[in-house]
Amino acid sequence: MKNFPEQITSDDILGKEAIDPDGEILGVVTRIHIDRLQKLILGITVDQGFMKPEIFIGMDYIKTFGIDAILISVVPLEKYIGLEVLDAQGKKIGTVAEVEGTNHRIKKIRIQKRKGVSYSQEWISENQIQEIADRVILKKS
Amino acid sequence: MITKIPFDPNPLPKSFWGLLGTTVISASGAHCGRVLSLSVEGTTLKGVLVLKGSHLVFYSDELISPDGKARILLKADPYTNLIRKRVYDSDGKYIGKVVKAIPSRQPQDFSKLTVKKRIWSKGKDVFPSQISTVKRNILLNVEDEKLS
Repeated sequence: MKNFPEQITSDDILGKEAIDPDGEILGVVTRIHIDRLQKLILGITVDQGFMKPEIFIGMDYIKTFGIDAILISVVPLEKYIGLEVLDAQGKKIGTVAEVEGTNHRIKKIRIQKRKGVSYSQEWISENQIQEIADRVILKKS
Repeated sequence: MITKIPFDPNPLPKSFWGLLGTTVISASGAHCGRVLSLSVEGTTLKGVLVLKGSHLVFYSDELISPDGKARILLKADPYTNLIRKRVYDSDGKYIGKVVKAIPSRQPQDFSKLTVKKRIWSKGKDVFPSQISTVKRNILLNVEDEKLS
């Protein structure tokens, strides 16, 4: 079969790492979703790893089918779930349990705090967040 | 008899032993190591010596945020955190890992990164103008062929 230079196959997609705009490796592409009637690729499924949910990424959010990795054009909000939350003094106050946002921009996050054997929840809005990368660091209150 | 100790809003500063082993966290929340030693000049703290993996890094007091109590917080992301980060070019091709970061004259900034795919392979130089994102890993805005 004649190979076109811009043509790739499922082997070039499946098993590749999916990388978001922050450079973080989201996981490994495990499935390609195809519209059976229109014969179009709808998106890919990324396996984030053990005990983590899978993420579906639509074709509109895929920037490049790269040689060694698939580059994504947006940061999925689900990746922030489970991050440690530190206050302005560096003390850990909980972990991120839920993220709410629009257009892939964070509006507020729900923090799960542990007190002994019980848990409490607290919503934090985006203007209280100083930095969100490896951990969530809150501003001085 | 239980004695209630009143809350002191201005606790005494920590001793050397209290700081030893404290986690150091950068401005983005990245783990930068644990305190191994302090650098003191007279009665002034000049900086901390931090052990990260097998590397020793010195952070001066100018980089240390005064707000940190439970952990030592830094005001910026040190360029030494870039070492061992993965580098991908604009086509999604894996270039290698950062093995060396050359500092620039600006504090906590770098002038050049050396990237290698394998220990024995020839290193490639990456300059700040060629980098589009530096966070969890490094994404370049140029293709692999344009790197020296």
